[in-house]
Amino acid sequence: MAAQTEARTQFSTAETETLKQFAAGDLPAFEKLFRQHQAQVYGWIVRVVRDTGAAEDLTIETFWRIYRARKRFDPKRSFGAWVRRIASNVAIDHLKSVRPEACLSAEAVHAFEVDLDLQQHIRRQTERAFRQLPAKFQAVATLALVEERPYEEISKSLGISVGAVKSRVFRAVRLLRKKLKQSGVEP
Amino acid sequence: MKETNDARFKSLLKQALRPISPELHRDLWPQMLRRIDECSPAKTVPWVDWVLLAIVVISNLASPHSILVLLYHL
Repeated sequence: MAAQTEARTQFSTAETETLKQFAAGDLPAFEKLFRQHQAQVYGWIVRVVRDTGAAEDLTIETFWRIYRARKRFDPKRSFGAWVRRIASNVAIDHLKSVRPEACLSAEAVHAFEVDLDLQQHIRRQTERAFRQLPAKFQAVATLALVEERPYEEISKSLGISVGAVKSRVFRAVRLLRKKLKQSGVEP
Repeated sequence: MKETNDARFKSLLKQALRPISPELHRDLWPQMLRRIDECSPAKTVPWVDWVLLAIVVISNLASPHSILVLLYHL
């Protein structure tokens, strides 16, 4: 038990030292942190943006922002939480920059989808409607409804309250329902 | 009623959004290193050095004897 506590203390001290070195601009310390956290950051981003290629680039973008902001980082604070917050912002910025699929006219949609079965039609319409939601709604709805992440985790990652997360999910669903009704799908 | 609606939307979204694997299959460090190299500011000569060089050149032009003094001190 004592050995475990000692090992944990040593690990914590080593980690704090790495964080201090990183904040001072030490590249090997940054590499160590990058290798420790890259998979976790990628996993989080890809859950939000649903695009593996973009997620790799956005992981790099996240760490680039972290690297540039290293002087502002307080080594006493949680590096993981800081990274998660930046990764969420990067993912949301990406969703804002991606233009939703160009809206086709009703006739064009009908002509295009006349051969598709009903389920496929609903899926396509749902995805289209979802991609037209504001980026912050998309992110929260994906994490809460598709990935089923706890509200607490989402709130910490986005830097908003649990109440705000619930409110965004509610508004996202309401907006999605409205858009689906407009495109003739009754959810 | 609300829970039923949420469950229906969950199922609808899970079907509509493509499933993804959250696993990272390669090391991104080489890409990161490239990004750092590309975006780091280029090594520049500080302005103080340019001022000193200008002073030396001007004083040498104004009085050529100072070249000998400069060479003596180098």
